[in-house]
Amino acid sequence: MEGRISADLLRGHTDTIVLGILLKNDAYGYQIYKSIMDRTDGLYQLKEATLYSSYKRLEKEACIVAYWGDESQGGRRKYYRITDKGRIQYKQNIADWEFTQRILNRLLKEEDN
Amino acid sequence: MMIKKYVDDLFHGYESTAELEDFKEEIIINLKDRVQDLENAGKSPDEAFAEAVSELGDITAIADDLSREKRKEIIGKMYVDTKPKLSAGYAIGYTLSAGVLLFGIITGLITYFSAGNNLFIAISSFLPFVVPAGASLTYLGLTTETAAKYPMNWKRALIYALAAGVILFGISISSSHYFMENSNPAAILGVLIPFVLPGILVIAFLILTEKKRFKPWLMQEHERYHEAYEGYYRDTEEVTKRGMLSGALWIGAIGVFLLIWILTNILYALPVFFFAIVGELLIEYRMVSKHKRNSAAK
Repeated sequence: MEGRISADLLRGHTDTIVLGILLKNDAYGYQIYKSIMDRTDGLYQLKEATLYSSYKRLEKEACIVAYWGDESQGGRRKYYRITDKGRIQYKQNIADWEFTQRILNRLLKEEDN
Repeated sequence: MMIKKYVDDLFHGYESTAELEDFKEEIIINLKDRVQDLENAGKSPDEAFAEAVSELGDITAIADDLSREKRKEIIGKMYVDTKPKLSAGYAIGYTLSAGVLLFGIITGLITYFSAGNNLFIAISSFLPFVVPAGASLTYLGLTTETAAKYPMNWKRALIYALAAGVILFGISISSSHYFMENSNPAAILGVLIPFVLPGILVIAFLILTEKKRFKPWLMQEHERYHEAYEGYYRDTEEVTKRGMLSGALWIGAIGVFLLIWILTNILYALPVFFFAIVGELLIEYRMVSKHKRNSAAK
């Protein structure tokens, strides 16, 4: 049976996904959006609005900082950079997720027990 | 520029904060990039625009956050009583002043009936109450913060209150004189003018130099009103100011006229009106030239 994506479940992890993308390089909104699309092969349509509210939230929690780039062509872009607090948060979220996943698997997959 | 217009429309009605403008710029550039990519992938400009916009999702929730202050204000205007609470001191002040005023009225009435319907004594006994009560009510009223206005500076309010007290004093003294037996009209005016005239002049001066104390939301209402009626009336503010200026001029002129009349002779007093007319013309001239200047500046 083909699985479908649970939008609610994924939305709960938007912050972690964003932090994960920013771990390697700073990026601006559309880059982050595109890299999510690429990774999911377009299987999941994440609304940009969800990402924007994630940036705002992460910024408020000081997990990321925003700065304007100095592009000379086509308008400047707003970049996001992960902070040390953001890196710690990311590790914590991943650890939480792995733990939750283990528990959920135990609870959900009745036949494996 | 379809994208910019779309985003502008999206946030139409939200108060423009620095944060919101920042956010709009970010959305616009990201949408542009997205449309560009979709066009490169072979979509028509319209298709690309429609798709990029549909991917954006509901953005207004974030705008709500960024304009929360504005929203609060709107909600406040609609549902919440934004009337500032009266402090205990002011409540006591108002009550006391009203009490003094009431007490004065009662005392006046009692005196009136017990002194054999003598208005002179009645008003005289009312006087000690009405002056402080009137002055303190003026002061309290001006320094009280309301839903529409900020409180006045206390020093300025104090001058208002003193002037109001002096006027009240003059009015009650001269009206009690009026009811005194064998009263002389000149004497009544002689008592009235030294008090009332300077009081009115001080108040006229204060009103003319008044700064606006309206709260921001009221200012916006005024602006909207002003815009709506711009074609019909001249600058309403100018007209009000002009009216007050000539009002002050004529009150002053009449005062000086009466004073000179009482002190000397009516013949010496009449030229005052000539000067008042000249003053009136000068005010009109100043307003017209100012209006021209303003319209030229626009």
